[in-house]
Amino acid sequence: MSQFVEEVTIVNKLGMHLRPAQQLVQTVLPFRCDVHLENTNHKVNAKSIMGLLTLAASQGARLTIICDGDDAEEAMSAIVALIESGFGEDD
Amino acid sequence: MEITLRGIGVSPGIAIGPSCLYQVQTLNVARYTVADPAAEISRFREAVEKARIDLQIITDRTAEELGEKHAAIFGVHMDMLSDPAFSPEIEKRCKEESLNSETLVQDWMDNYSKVMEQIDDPLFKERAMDFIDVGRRILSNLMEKEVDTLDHLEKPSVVVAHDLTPSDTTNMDIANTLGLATDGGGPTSHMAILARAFEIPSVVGLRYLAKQLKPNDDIIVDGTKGFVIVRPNEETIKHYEEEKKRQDAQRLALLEASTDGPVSTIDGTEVTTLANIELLAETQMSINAKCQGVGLFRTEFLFMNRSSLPSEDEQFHSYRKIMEAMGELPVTMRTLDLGGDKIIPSLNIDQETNPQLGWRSIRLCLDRPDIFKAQLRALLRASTFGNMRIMFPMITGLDQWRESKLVVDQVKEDLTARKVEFNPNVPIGCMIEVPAAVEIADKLAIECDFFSIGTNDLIQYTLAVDRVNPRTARLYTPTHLAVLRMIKRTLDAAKEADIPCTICGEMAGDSMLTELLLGLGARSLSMSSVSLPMVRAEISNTRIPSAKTLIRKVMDIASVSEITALLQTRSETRDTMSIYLKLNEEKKNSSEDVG
Repeated sequence: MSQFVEEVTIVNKLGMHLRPAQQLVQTVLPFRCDVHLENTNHKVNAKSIMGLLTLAASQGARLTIICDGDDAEEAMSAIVALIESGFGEDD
Repeated sequence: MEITLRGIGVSPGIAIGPSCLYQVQTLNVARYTVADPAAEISRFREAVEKARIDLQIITDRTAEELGEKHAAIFGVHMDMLSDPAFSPEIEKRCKEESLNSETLVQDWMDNYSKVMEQIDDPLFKERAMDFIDVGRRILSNLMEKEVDTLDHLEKPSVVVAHDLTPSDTTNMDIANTLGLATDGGGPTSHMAILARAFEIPSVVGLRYLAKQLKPNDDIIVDGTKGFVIVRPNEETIKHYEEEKKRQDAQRLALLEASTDGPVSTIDGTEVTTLANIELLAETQMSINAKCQGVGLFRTEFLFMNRSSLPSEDEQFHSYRKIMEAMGELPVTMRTLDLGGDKIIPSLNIDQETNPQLGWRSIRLCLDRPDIFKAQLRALLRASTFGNMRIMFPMITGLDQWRESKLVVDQVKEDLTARKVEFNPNVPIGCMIEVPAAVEIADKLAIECDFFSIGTNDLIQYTLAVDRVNPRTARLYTPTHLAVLRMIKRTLDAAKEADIPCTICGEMAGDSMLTELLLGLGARSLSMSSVSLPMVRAEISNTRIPSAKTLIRKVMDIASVSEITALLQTRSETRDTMSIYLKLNEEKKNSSEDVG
């Protein structure tokens, strides 16, 4: 069982609000592995929109991504790409 | 037992009916253990399934009525229902602790909304509402009670709330809202403006109403006198039903009696009466009320209750519809006047300590030319579809006026270069609503095409009163000598420079003050459509020389209470209503004779 850990910064202006959180959930749901996001205070299940919302990640927030399972590597690439692209939002 | 509570009447009329308490707080949840957790889980799942079906219906309906964007939030609520942090957690607790579903859902709601509320970022903090919204939906399914939301009332009701934010009111079920009564709020808060626009009897500033109300209580709202009666007894109900019938008949008579076009005083002075509106739906109401145009079109509605700014095209389509609805009648558009109680998350404005004196309105627009120009482009493009004027709110100085005007010129150049059609002769004016502007009104009048006196804000800034704060709302007194002097100075400056000057704001719609304003020199008044018939009647029952005499008397009295008493006596002497009704009767009788 493989575990992948990476750090990312939230770049888009309004942070990880409703729409990006939805996008993230939709991105990770198809993967079999467990995905968690962590900041200094919380660790949440990335397949839970509620969990993501409680993270309240605004622009500039540093998050740790933890993927656990067979397809962890693919999941990680997908997530990092999504977050670093600012969830496809322009300013 | 019948209770009477006193507040501030903000929208005239009487409403009698069942109350509907709108509260963003927890339903009374019973807590107990269950003998059969499996059965309880089934019950829970049924409630969730019902919620899912209801949400789908709501999503579809909202998408149809208001567009995809507004419907998206309900999609999010549906996603929450399938969220691993929701059902699995609750079902697990049920199995382990044998607690009833209501308790578990309530705990879940409390837990998540608490976490969200502790977040500083206002955008995220707002999301606490989503947890509460979804939780309440499930709870009401479990408890088999209807959810209290304003966008769909089960039956015609008087809506009672501690507070109604602008967002609360934008989706109101207008057709079924008989009346509104809130603990907080002031006469010129957003909710009050909407109530008048839709002619819904309303009272604000009741302080303790929401607490007193029990489920299924009937309630009477007297929006004219400013009080509510909870659990009225039969006699009271009967009295109010008769009073309501009488008032409705009077209003109808007034409307029938009033003629089209400008109203003239007894001695033949023409006075223009215009309407203040903000929604397309109000254009027809204002035309029915015989307005000569729109004296103030508030553009903020387009910017509210959404997560992103409206595009230039979106704005253009809305402005165009308004222009087309009003035909040849003039429409004065006010550029974005954001701030105070009209909060818009899409602009991500930090919490200011003093929003009324802060970054809002024309200041915001000059700092954000992207927003300002987009609105101006949209307005100018729409100007070819009717008779448009544009005005800037909250102008505090000549430099600011010139800067704003310059942006309009730049936008015109840009449109011309791109060969986009617009009316190059759109009059550009400003609102006089800040004491500084009154002081230099003579200088401004030389450069503006017209003035519009915004009495709401002018009174606020002059008397240093927060209009929305129920504790200070009573200090908001339009008949203060300082206010009257300011209005006079502005009217004089406009006259000197030979530019039109309209008084908009609630004062213009107060028929008790009509003679006063005419005496000060006002010849153009803009108000909520609901106030038009009575004010028009007052104008036609006025002699300008008498109005001027009244002013001489009033300007000598510095006390608000004395001035108010004087106006009260004057109103009784003038007896406009009975004269008007008598005229109407005579008209009807004479036409019957002829016919």
